Amino acid sequence: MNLEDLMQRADLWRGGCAPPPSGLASGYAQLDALLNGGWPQGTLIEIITAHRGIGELRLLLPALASLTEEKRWLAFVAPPYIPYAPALACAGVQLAHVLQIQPRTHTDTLWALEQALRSGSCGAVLAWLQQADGKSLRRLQLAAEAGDSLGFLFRSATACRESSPAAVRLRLAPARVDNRVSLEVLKRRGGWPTGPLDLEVNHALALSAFS
Amino acid sequence: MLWLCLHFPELPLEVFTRGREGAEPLLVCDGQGRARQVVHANTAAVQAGIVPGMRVSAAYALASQVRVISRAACTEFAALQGLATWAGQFSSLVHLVEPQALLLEVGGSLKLFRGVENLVRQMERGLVQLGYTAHSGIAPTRRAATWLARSASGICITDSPALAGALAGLPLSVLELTAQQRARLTGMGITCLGDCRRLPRAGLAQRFGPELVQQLDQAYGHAPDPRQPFVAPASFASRLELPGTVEHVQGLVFGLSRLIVELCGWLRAHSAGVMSLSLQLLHTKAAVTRLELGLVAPSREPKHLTDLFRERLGQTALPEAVEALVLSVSRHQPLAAPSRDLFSTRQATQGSAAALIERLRARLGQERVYGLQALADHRPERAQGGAVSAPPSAALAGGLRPCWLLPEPVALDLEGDRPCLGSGLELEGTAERIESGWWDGGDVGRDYYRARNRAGERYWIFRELKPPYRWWLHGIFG
Repeated sequence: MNLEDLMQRADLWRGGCAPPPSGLASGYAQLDALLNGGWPQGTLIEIITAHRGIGELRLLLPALASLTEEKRWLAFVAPPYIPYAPALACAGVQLAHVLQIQPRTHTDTLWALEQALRSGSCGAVLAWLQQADGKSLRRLQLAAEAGDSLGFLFRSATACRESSPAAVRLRLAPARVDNRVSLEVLKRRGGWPTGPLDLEVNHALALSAFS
Repeated sequence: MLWLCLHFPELPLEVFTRGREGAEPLLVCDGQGRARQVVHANTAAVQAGIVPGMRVSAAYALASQVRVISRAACTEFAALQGLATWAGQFSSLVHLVEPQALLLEVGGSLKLFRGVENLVRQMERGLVQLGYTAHSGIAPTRRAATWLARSASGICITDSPALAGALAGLPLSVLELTAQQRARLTGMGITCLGDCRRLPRAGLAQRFGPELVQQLDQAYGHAPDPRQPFVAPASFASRLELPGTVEHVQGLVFGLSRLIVELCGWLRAHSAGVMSLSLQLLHTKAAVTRLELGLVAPSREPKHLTDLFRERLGQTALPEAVEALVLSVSRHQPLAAPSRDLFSTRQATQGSAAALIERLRARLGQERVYGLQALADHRPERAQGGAVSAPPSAALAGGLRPCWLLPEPVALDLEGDRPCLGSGLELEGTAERIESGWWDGGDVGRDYYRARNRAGERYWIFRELKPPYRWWLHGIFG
C-alpha cells in the first residue's frame, strides 16, 4: 500500500490538520475549542475520575439539556445514586425524556447500554461501568455510531492505564479554586492530549419556582 | 368487482409443518385401518420415494423413520379461518371456499395497494412468512377466480371480455364433479372447459344435471353466485401445532413469528394495535406455561413483537417440551397508520423510544426501567418519582441542590464536633432549613449545608433539628 492510498482512507488521522468543526456544543467555550466544536456525536466519551462530587455530572448538563429540548431521550444506565429530578429540571433537562435503567448484572448492563445506544432514540446515554474490556467497548462504540448517540462512560481512575476505542477520554479532578473542575484531555480526535485546564462549573443548582 | 382466490394445495400438510424449520420426512394420511392412504408428503418424504395415493404401510417400507399424522379436518378449517382473518387486511370482503381456498374482493383495494401486481406481491410475501404455499387466480367472477387458482396457472384477468378465452383452456379437474361424471366427460372426448361450453346446454343439463351448467354460467358471469361473507372474530386467538416437540426456547421463536404475522394481519384489518398479549406454551403433561407481554404504546410491527417475545422466552425456563403455541390478544386499541412528516424525523424517534423501553423491560423486568419526574414537595426524598414521560409539574422554589441524591441518608461520623467523610468536612454558606411533612407522618426537620472535604469533593449534608442532632449525608454535587 502506498502513501496515496493511505491518504484516501477516512479513518486515518493526520496530525496538524483538524477535521471541520462538528459536535454538540458542551456549553463551555474552552472545552468546545479543545473538542473541535463540542462533544463528537455518535461516539463514546470516557470520563475518568477517582472522585465524586466534583461537578462531573454538572459538566454534561448543558449538552444534555439541549438534547432533551430536541425531544431526544436521555438514559442513565446503572447510575450509582438517584439523579435528583428538581436539580436536573433546573438545568433545563426535560424530565419527560429521561429514562433510568438499573440492570441486575454486569452483562445486562452492557446489553442495556448497547440497546440504548443503538436504538437511535437516545441522544445521550450515561453509564457507570465497574469494568469493561476492549471488546465490549468496541461493540459499544459501534452501537453509538449506529444510533448516532453520545455514550458517556464514567470510569474509575484505573481505566486510564488501559487503551480504549472511545473517541474522547477526559480525566477530571477537583480544582484548587472554588466552583471549578480541573479537566485533562487524554485523547481526542484531531489533536494531541492537553494538560489540565480549569473549567468553571457551578456545582449547585438553585431551584426557582415554576421552572 | 374483481376477485382474487388463494388456493392452498398443501394445507393438510402445512398445518403441521409450518411451526418449525426442519426436513424430517413427514406425511399426512387419510382413511381407516389398513386402507390408510398418503394424502400429502413433505419434500423429505417425497425424496424417499413416497408419493400421494400410496398405502401408509408402503410408505413405512420406503422410509422407516417417517412421521405419520392423520389428517385433521378441524385443524385445517381453523387454519383456513386464521388465513381469512389475516387476509382481512387486503380486502373487506372475504369468503371461505372449503376445504382449502379463500376468495377476496380486491377491486376496492387496488388503489390502496397501488395495483394488482403490488397487492399480489405483498400477499405472497405474507404467505411465505405464515408458512403456507398458495396459488392465486384473479378474475371478475368468484367461480372463475377459484378455478384459475385451482389450475395453478397463475393467470390474472382483470376485464370481462378476456375471461371466456382464458377459461376455455382450463382442464376439467377444476370443476366440482363426481369421479363418474368426470370419467363420462373424458369418455366423450372433452378435455377442457372450452369443449364443455361448445356442447348444447339442454343436453349437457340433461346428462350431467343442472349443477354443471350453473357452475359454468356462474364462472362466465351469466348467473349470480351468492355466498356468505367471512366475519373476522372480534378477538384474536390462534393456535399453532409444532411438528414433534420443541425442547429449546429458541426453537419456539420460529413458530411464534408465524403466529405474530397472523396477529398483525388481524390488527391491520381492525386498524388496531396490540397493548397486551398472552402466549401459552402447551406441554404434554406439565401445566401450561403462560407469558404475558404488556406494551407501552400500541404496536402491530411483527419484528418488534417477535423481538420482545424472544427476550421474554430467553428468560423463561421450560418445565417440559412444548407441543403447541397459543397466542391471544388480551387488550388492543385503535391505532391509525402513522402519517409521515415531510421534514422531521421526530415521529420515528418517539416510536423507537417506546420500542426501546419495551425491549429493555422485556429482559430486565418492569421495575428496573423507569423515568424521572419532579414532584412538588419540599422534602428532597419526596421531590421526585419514577413515572415515564410524566407531564411536568411545578417545582418548588428552594436553595441550592445537588445533581445526585442518595437513596437513603447515610449517617456521618464525627471528628470532634465536625462531621467527617474520609476527612473533616468544611461547611460552606449558610444553612437551609427544611421542615415539612407533619401532616402525613413523614415529618422532617433538618438544616441542610453544603460541605467540602479535603480532596475537594462537595456534599449535601444535614443536621437533625431534634436530639441527638446527628449529621447525615444526603446528596452529592456531581
